[in-house]
Amino acid sequence: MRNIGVVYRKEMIDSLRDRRTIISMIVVPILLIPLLAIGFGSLAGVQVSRVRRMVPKVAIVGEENGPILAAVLRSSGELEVVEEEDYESALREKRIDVAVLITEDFTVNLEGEASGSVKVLYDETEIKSESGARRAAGVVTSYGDSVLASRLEEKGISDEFINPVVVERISVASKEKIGGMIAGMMLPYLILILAMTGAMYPAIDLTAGEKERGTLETLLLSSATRLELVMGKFLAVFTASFVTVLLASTSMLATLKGGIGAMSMAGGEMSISISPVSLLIVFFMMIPVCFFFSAILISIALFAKSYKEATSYLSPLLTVLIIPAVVSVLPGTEMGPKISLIPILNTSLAFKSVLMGSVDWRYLGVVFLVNVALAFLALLRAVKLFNTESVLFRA
Amino acid sequence: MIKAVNLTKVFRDRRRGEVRAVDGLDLECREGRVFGLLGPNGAGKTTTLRLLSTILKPTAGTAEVNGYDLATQPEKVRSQVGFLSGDTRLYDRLTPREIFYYFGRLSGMGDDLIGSRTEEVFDMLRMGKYADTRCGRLSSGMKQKVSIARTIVHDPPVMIMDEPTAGLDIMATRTVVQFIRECRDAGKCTVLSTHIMTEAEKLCDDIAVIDEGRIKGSGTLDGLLKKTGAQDLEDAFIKIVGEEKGS
Repeated sequence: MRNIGVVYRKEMIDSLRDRRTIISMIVVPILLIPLLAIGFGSLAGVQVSRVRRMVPKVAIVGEENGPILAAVLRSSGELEVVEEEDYESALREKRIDVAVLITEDFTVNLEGEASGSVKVLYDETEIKSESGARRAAGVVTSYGDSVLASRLEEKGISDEFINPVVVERISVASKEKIGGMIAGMMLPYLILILAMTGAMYPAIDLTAGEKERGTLETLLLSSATRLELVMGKFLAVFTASFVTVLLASTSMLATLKGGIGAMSMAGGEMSISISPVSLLIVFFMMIPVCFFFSAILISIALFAKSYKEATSYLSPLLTVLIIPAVVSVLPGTEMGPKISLIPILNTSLAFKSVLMGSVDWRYLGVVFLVNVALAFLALLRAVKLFNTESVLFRA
Repeated sequence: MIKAVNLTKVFRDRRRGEVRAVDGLDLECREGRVFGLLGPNGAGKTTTLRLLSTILKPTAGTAEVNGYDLATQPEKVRSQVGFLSGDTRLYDRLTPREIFYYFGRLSGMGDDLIGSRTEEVFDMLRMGKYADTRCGRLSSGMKQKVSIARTIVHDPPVMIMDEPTAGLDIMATRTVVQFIRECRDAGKCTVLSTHIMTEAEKLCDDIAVIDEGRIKGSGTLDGLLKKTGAQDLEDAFIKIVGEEKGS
């Protein structure tokens, strides 16, 4: 069994000299999250300020039907009113963003204490048109409110009379819990994906890569047993996977704490903090997951004859992984007895609850055991394949 | 040193069905001698040597290598064997010294012993200058020397070489040929597969001609020439495997 350590040490040295492994194991996990945060942050910031700065062009159709409303629209300062006869083609050709149609009997209806109708036409596929429509509708609604207020005043009716019940929504979630929820949405998903990408390149390099370079046969000729060889390789891949997870989580925490980019926007005034205990639980739970990923990646990559072939076998696995990870962040997906048995989804949900501060130890135990069982099955498979001539010497 | 009895290897191929790559092969190789395994492409040479080095398991029959059984003591067999072939390449990201230590450790040797062995072998093969250069940056001749060093780190009594000069230039070929002679002089049992007849004539004490997985003729060089009435080994080889195949 001493040879497991010998193989492990050599594989680690060899992998750390491989640029691809360094990128997937160290560079990507450290830089991905801050870069994503900065990227989304600045993108979102740019979009928000752009939309804010935009003054939509509005054509008022039927101005004579509601001259007061038209005057209010003109003087609101939020809209640029332009003259357009053919508002439909103007909208299509983007000469205007919004058209406000005041119906013929608008003023008559208002004066008769009925409802006057106004149509706001816009193109919902255009951001500028969409936001312009919201602003125009807002101006029209506030005009309606002022008409209502004067009607009530005339009749001597108070505001309270027409608003018998006042509802106020107050969230009791602590700033930490809100922070945990934001972290809980992103962290499990990213950690699971990075655990796999971190393991992917070394898994290929140490199996199909060795076949392609002709070093696998050299290794099989050594006095080490096949079990020792596969275990040494497996531990090296596992290390790469787990180190990726550790680095990614640390980077994520640093990004949250530093309030970089989108994180600062998402966080706003609240403190996004993840307790050290939660993080330790996540790391502990990740051990069998990285174990499972490493063993399954080795098993699949071992079939391939070349790096390229192995990459084409393994890439679909990422898609398979992404689906349950995405499902777990959808609102309403909750941990339950059945879900706790579904690989990946169970882990992602468990992390979400741990990061939000609600730990159900029974479910955590089940998820951990499910992952341990999967890990051992995958490892047994890898060991078996490493003893299969038709796999090792596939022509 | 090596004694194979009825050694057989059957592969199952989807297209070709059952392929008997090695079919009831008997052979015996002794210490201090070079045993040449000659045969056309696809005759079963590589499979035979892979069986003897335990990286493939025989379908039937067995062999003993320096007293250890192929089937029941594969790790022990490998500890007795140094295997060199064009398919056994080196780790480009490791240096010759690291590779030497790696395979030494896998053979159960301690670092002190590997250290003294490094000096001995690297001196013998004159590898000192590039002992700490990554293999990816070495020439093919240098790489071949590293491969040779790798096979003898544990000083095995049996050497198995599968077309060890294939694709090498004259200088690298000379190194290998010299190395085979040194193995014989050191009393090792050497099995060499080749289809270069001049090489076999120069190096082999005993020769077996293999075709379709079976031994078609064997003996010393003189014995084979006498048996076939041929002038040289090439003629003898063609007479044994058949004119059609040999041409």
